[in-house]
Amino acid sequence: MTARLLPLAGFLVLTAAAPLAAQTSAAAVPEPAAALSQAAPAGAVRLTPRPTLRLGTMVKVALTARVQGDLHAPGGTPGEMDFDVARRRVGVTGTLTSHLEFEVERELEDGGDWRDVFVNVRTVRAAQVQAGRFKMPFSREQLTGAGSLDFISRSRAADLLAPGRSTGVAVHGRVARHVLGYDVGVFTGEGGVAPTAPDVTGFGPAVAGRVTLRPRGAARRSGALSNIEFGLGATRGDVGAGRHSLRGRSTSKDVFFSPVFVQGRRLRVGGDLDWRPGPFGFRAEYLRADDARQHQGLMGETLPALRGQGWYVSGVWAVAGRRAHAGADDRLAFAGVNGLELAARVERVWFGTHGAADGSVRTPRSADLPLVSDRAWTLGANWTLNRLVRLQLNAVLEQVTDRARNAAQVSGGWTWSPMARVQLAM
Amino acid sequence: MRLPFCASAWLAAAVLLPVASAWAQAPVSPNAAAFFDDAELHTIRLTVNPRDWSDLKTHYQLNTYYPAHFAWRDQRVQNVGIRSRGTGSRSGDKPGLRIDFNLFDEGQQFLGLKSVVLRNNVQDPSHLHERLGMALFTRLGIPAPREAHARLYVNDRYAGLYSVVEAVDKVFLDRHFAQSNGFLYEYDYDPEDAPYRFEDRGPDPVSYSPKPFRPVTHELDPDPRPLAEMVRAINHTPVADLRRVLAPYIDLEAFVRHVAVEAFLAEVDGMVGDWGMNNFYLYRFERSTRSTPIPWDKSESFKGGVAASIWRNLDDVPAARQNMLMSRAMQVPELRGLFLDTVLQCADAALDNEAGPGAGWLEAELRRAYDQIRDAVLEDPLKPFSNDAFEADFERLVEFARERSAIVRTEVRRSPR
Repeated sequence: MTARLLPLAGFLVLTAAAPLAAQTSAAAVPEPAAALSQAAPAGAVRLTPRPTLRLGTMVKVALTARVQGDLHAPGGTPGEMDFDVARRRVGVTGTLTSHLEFEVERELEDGGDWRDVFVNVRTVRAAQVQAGRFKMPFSREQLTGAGSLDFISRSRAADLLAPGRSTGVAVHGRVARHVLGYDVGVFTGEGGVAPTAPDVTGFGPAVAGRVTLRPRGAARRSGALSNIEFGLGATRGDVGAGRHSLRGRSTSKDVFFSPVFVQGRRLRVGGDLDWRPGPFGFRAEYLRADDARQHQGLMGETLPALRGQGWYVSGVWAVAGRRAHAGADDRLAFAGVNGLELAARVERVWFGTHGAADGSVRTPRSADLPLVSDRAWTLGANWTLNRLVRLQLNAVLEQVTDRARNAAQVSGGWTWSPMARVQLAM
Repeated sequence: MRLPFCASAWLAAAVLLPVASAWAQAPVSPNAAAFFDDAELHTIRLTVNPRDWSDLKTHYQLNTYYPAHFAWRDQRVQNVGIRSRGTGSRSGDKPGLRIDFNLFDEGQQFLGLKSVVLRNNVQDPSHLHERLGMALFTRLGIPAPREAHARLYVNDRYAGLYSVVEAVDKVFLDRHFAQSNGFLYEYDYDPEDAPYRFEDRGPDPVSYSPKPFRPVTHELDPDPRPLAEMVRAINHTPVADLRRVLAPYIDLEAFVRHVAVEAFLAEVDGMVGDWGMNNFYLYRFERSTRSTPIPWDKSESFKGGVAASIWRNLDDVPAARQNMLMSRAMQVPELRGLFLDTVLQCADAALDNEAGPGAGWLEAELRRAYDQIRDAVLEDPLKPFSNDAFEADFERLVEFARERSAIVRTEVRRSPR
C-alpha cells in the first residue's frame, strides 16, 4: 500500500504547487482565449496559458501537456486503493498562416503511442480538410477530449463501441449559417482495432461520417434551444478473421464479454444530443455496432452478427461558475469555491446476437450469443481549481447481467467503485 | 367398485411387466470406466474450426482455448474447450491436448468427467511408457490416472494415436479419496528454473506457490502456508523426529511408495528425477495440513534402462542434488524398509503370472497393448518417430519387463536396511 501510494504523494505535491503558480501568473496575464487572440509582436514567446512561440501573425506553436493521476478502489474496497498515472501526454499545436492548423501529441509512457498527428487545411471554413492520425468522426463523447469530460471514465457505450484514432483524410465544416455540421472521412482501418499479428488479414479501409444539427446555428441569443445540438454518425469498416470482435469491460476494467471470432463488415450507427441551458447540461447518446461473423462457425458456417449497443443519459450542474462550465454564472461561488460542478449519469451497454435464447452456451464460435449487459450509475463532482488543475470525484454503482448458461450467475450483485482523478493540463 | 384380488393381481402384472421388460432392455449408458477401458482401442472425434486447429498448432506453446465438438462412440458433447498442453512434449505437429467439457458450460460433463487429457506421446516412441507406468501404480493400489489409447480424428482426418489420460481434478479426487474440496497443487516444472528438491526457500509461502506448486483448486486462495511449513520441517527436523513432525504435513509412507514405484520403473523425470522434482500432484486433504502425492506423466519411465539403480539420484549424486525429503526419509529405518519392500512388490507384480505360465504381468500387459495399438501407430502420420523406432522401443520394453525384476531384487538384497 505504502509503495503503491508513493507516486500519489509525489503527484499531490505537484498538484499543490501548481495552483500557486497558476494563480500568481493568472493575475498578470489575460485569460487564455483573449491572450491567444491578441496580436503579439514578431518573435514573441509567451509562457501562459501554455508556452507559445509566435512569429508574427503567420506562425504560432504552443506546447501542450497533460498528466492525469487516478485513485481508485476496485470493487469498492477503500482499503485497496490503487494509484496510477492514467495519462502522460505532451505535444505541440499551432497554426501556419491562417490556412493551416496542426497538432502532434504522444504518450510519454514506455512504448507510448502517437495520439494525434494531423494537419487541418482551413482555407475554406465550410470545407476544411484534415489529414493524418486523429479520431474517427463518431460518437460525441468519444470525440470529447479526455480533459473535458464530465466524468472520470467515458460512458461504457462510447468507450466500448466507438472507434478510436486512425490514419485518414476527412472533410469537415459547418454550413447553412452554422446550423449544419458535417465530418466525413476515409481511414486506413478500424480505429483502435489494429491487427496485432502479421498473419491477420482482412482488415480494410473504413469510412466514417457524422452530421450535427444546431437549430440556432451561430446565433448567440439566449433561450431554451440555445446551445442544443443533435448528432448522427456512422462508420463502416472491415474486420479480419479472428477473435477481434468488440469486447465488454466494466468501469473497473473487468472483462464481462470476451471477444468472439468475427470476419467481415463492422457497421456502427449512433445518435446523440447535447444541451447546455444555463448552468445545466444534458447529454444523451445511443450507439450500436454490428460485427459480421462470416464463416466463423465451427464448421465454417456464417453466424449471426454480434451486436453491441448502449446508451447513456447524463446531466451536469455548474454549482459555482468561472470556467467550469460555459453556461455557468461566473459571479456565483459555493462556499467560496469557484469552478464546482455536480454530475450524474445512467447508462447501459449490452452484447449478444439478435434472438439468442437465454441459457444458451456462449463460445467464441456460438451461433447464439446470449445477452450480457452492464448497467451503471455514476455520481460525480468536478472542481476546476484554475486553468491548470482539475479534480474529479466519482462513485460508480455497476451491475453485470449475463444470460448465458455458463454464467456464474445471471445477475451479479451491484458493486460500487469510488474513483478520484487529478488532472494537470496546459 | 372393488376388484377381486385375482383381478387386481392380473391388472398389476399387465401394467408392470411391460415396464419392467422395457427397463431391462434399455441400453446401458456407458460410464467413465468404459471410456478408460484399456481393453479397447478407442476412437475420439473432434470437430474444430480448421482455422482454430491451425492456430492451435501454430501457437502450440500457448494455452489458448478453442471451441470444439467431441464425440466418442454415440456420445456427443458440444461446445467443449480444447487447448495445447504439455511441457517438453508440446508439439506443433501433433499437439498434446486438454479437453475441458465444462469450459463454456459450467454444468456440462462427459460421463461424469469435467476434463480429459490426450497425450501425444511425442517423447515416447513406443507410446506405451505412460500407460504401463500408470498401470503399475494402480496395481500397487496407489491412486493414479486411468489410461487407454485412442485414435484421434480431427474434422474426420486421422490426427494420430493418443493416450487418453484421466485428468487429476475434483472428479479424480472424489473417486479416490471421497472428497475433493481440499487443496490440489500440480508441481509446475519450468525448464528455465533451477531444479528444486524440497530445499528450504524460507518461510514465505509465496516461495512455494503458485510456483512451483501451481494451485489447481482454490486458485484464488491457494493457502500455501502448510507447504512452506512442510518444507521447513523437511529441512530442519532431526531424522529421529522426522516421521512424527512430518506426519501432519505429508503422508510419508505414500511418498516413499511413490518414489519406490518410480525407482522400479527407472523413471528419470519423476519425484527424484534427473532435473529435480517433476510430474506429480500434491493433494492436501480437507480441513487438514496433510498432503499426499499423486503420479502424473510417466512418459519418461523405463528410460533409465533395465539396469538402472533403484538408488538413482539418491546415493549416486552429491548431497546438493539429492531430494531433501527422500534422502532424509531413507535415514529412517522403517521408511527405508518400506521403500525396499515396495520395490520388491513392483518386481513381484511385474512377474506375476496369474493368467498362467508364460510371461509375467508386465510383459503380458505390454504385448496386449502393443497388439492393440500397433496398426494405429504405424498409420500415425504425425508421430515424430519412425516405425522402426517404435518397434525397437517395444523390444527394449520387453527386455525391461523380463529382466527388471531380477536386477531389482538383487539390488534390494544388497541394500542395507
